[in-house]
Amino acid sequence: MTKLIRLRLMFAIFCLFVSHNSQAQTKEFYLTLENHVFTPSELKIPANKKVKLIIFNKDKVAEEFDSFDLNREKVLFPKRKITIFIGPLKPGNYEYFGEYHPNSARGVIIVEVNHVN
Amino acid sequence: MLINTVILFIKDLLPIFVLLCLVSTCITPNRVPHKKLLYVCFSSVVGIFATFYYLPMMGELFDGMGIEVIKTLELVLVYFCLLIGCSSLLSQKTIAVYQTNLIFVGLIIFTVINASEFIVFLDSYLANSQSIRDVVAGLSIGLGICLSFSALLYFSLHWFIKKEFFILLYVVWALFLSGQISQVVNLLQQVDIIKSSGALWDSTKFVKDSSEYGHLLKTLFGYEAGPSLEFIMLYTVSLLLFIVTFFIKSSKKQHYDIDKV
Repeated sequence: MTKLIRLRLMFAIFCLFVSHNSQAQTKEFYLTLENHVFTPSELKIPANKKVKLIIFNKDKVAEEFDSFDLNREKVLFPKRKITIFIGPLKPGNYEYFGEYHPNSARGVIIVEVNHVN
Repeated sequence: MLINTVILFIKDLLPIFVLLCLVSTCITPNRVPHKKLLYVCFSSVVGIFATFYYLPMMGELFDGMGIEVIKTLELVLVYFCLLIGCSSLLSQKTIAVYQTNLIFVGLIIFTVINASEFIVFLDSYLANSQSIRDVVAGLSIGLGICLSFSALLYFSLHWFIKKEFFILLYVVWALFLSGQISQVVNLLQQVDIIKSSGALWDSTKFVKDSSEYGHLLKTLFGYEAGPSLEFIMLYTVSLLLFIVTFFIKSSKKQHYDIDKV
């Protein structure tokens, strides 16, 4: 196998796993954390599509957004926002919580097939 | 709050205790100069607090992907440092100085990654003066659990050394490091650098990720109830690297033995 063919093959394998991020197609959804409570507590997103979740922390202390269902975990620093990509997900309910205040900071992401914006 | 402190202590700090037990199989602490040990401790503490201070700013880098990118690079560095360091188990000769130094570098970076996350949590809790008592109690319980588990692990690993089960020790290292490096997939998927595919299976009915056993198994070998294809592939590649290292070291040992004869 020539060097050029090998390079092309490696590039093709690389492209299979690297995300092709299309800003125009990725919908954005917003969550706010205030007084250790996520708002809205139920967020509806479309099924089988990757979405961008933007979370803004209005509190003066850090929180950690954590979800075993979504396999996502990220620290929310005070007065800052974070961006997390989730999906494509099958229809269902996916729970998340604030790891530092799990009793109050809880919510669910509802993934629906016929989602209307 | 007390239970939460215990859970977070185990989640963030138990991996450090496990790594220290594993490092003790390669390096005998009383043979390391005190100056070096002090240097490792000092570097770790400085690294932890520096990371904690600059973490919000790191998060703003690379368009909000800073923490994931930096953590990925750190985990990859830790992996290779410890892979080269622990391969000394296979040659069964005295560990080389460069391998000792690599192990210490890996240990410092790993400690900084995990402990700085725990400091963020502590800072958030201690801002509320009412919760200090719960936090202190939680820290004590968490420390007790980690020390108990580490003691069991330490004696088990040193029993392997006594019985010359070096291959088993190497397998324990391989599973631990593969579990740690595979977390890179989750980090890069959440900032959309790597494609996100669904879980290949769901073993939640056996062991939940959120349970105490889930946290423990995740620490020991990177257990995930619903791993993605990318996670499994990286885990497999990591184990393959260990196997390749094993064969390289074995063939070098054979040549060494032949030359001796």
